[in-house]
Amino acid sequence: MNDGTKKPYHPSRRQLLQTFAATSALGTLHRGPWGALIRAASMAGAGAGTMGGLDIGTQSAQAAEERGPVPRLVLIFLDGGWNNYFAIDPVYGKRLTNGAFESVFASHTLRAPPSKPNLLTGIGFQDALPAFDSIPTVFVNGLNVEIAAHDAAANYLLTGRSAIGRTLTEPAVTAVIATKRGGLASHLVLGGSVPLGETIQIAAPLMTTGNALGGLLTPPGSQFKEETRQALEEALSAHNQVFFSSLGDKAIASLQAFVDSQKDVSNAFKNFANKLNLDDEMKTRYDVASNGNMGDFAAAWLALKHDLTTIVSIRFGGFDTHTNELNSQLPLQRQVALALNAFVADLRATPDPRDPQNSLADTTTIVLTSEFTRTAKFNDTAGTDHQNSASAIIMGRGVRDNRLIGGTSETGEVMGWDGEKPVTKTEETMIDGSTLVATLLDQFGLGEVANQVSSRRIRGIF
Amino acid sequence: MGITLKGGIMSPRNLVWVLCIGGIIVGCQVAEGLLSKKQGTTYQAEGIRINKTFGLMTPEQFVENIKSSLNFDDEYLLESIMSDHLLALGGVDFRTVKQRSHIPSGQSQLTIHRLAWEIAQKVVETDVILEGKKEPPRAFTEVTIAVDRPYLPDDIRLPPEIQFSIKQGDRRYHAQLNELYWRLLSRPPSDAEVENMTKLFIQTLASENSAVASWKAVLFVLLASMEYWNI
Repeated sequence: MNDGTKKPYHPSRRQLLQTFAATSALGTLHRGPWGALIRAASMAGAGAGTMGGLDIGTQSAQAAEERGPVPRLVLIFLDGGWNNYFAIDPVYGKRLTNGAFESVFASHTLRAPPSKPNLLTGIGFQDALPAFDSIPTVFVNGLNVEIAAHDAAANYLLTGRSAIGRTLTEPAVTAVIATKRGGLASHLVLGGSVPLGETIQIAAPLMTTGNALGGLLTPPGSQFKEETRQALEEALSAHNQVFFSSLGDKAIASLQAFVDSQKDVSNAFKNFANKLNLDDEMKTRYDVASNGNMGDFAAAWLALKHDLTTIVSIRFGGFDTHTNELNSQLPLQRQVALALNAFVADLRATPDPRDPQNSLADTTTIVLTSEFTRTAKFNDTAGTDHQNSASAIIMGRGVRDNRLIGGTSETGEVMGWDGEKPVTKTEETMIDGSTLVATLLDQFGLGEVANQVSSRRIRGIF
Repeated sequence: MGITLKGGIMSPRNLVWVLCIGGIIVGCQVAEGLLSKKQGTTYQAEGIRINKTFGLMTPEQFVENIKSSLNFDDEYLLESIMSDHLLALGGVDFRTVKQRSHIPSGQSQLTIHRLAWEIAQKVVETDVILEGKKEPPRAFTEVTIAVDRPYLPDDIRLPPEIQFSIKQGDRRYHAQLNELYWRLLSRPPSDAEVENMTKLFIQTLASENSAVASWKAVLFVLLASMEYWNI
């Protein structure tokens, strides 16, 4: 019941954000990792000494207004589980003769970037060698996977936490970092969704596919003449004004968020129209003809180039190749490697819009991973099944170069990592999704949140 | 006490009947006036202010609404709303998002604009095709889409028989505009809205030289409007 002090209507987005922290639900969250995020945001946005300031709305608004250089993050997730023996954990040496691996690997020629001998690469990812050569790159192998089931393992790699049931309640690492950013697209999600948890209330992402992103940011009626498009905009505005003029205070307040978000759209059309469409040259460069999803790489580059966003998540499906491995997994890896190569080349050639002295390759960290890798032996249908280990390629800003982190044994089992070399896996030496996510959060200035995810980091990546 | 003689023409019983019948007639006229789809009889004209709490329509409600109000049956687009745009419109997939949001974001607005435009185009084009096949239209039931238009001041220079034809079309135009308002917003347009929409229709007709384009523009404005999306 309205007692005259509480608003009996839906609060605006800003009001919601500003009061969000004070709710009992958030009180619960405060005791968990979110509390650390909120405190960290307060510290970062408002300066030290404002620990009591739990005003996420203000923080978010400030973030939206910040136009200075910020570290960018692109997370590429290969859904289904990639076969890492074709990629960054290749088969050579004793592995070729110990019977643990499929004999076909013996016919594969392995290569490394000319100046980076540690980054030995299988035939699936050799098209990305120029990219590995051109920017700092590390390979991370031997990430422990407790449950090699798709949803559970993907969730663990993306969020660093286990999910109970199928509902992914914790936010992905990109979604968490995006809460420190603002604007129309604090986080751009291409090709599929990532777990968002409560972050959707704080920093709703822009979600689409690379091929559709340009269309989403193109004003309606764009095929009409400019005067018609102008008339459309004016008519819609006039219609809304007539409606608005018929409303009482309560109704107006409940529509405030809608009105506010309309301004976002006007700005989006003004700033990004026709800038994020993939032209034929881009489609050729990213080989969109072979796989339409590779347009997501091109769209991510355009979104960074035009400063639509600073955080991108991309998901590519199709890697769950239980049949015909050589004709399903391998071509898919090659398509991703080619597109990754084009992406890195474009980042290198593009100044960061917020920091023109540096290229986007200097300011962007790229993480490519998958929920798990696949078995060393083929199954009865010449495909592969799930294996309890995962891998990641980490490139770009802040990354140490030419390093191989973690590892798997001669038979493909997960090993531990002591910061220098693979060692026997123990509770202390094991690296996994949670340590990877914590390491990334730490790198992006969210150390307190990272501590809630894991007390350990993977040493040697950054 | 009777007005005249007991049992006469104006006996109390007859008077009651007369009053009842008169009351019914007057009541019907009032009701007709209130419910009329004619212009100028909206809540705005009557100074009524809406003061309820609005929330963003859910994607499920949106899909059902366009299916029933516009007879929209493009399965591909309907499915894509529920798959590709579900979260953008505040929906829940119970996998990555578990809490429905009635608070629009920039993404919601972009999606609303995109969908409103796509649906407006498809609805109009479908009815143009049906019109060509002499089959019943789905949403544009009152008008010949490619022909009818509002009567313009310059039309007075035209021969009387052409003017007559345009005026017939003008009536159908207004009937169709009313029809779209009732279908999508459950009310007739106000005078100001008729003026606004007619201005858009004429501007689009002048620049694109197509009444079909004009109807797309009009339908887009209704489908993208704040009133349509907030219930």
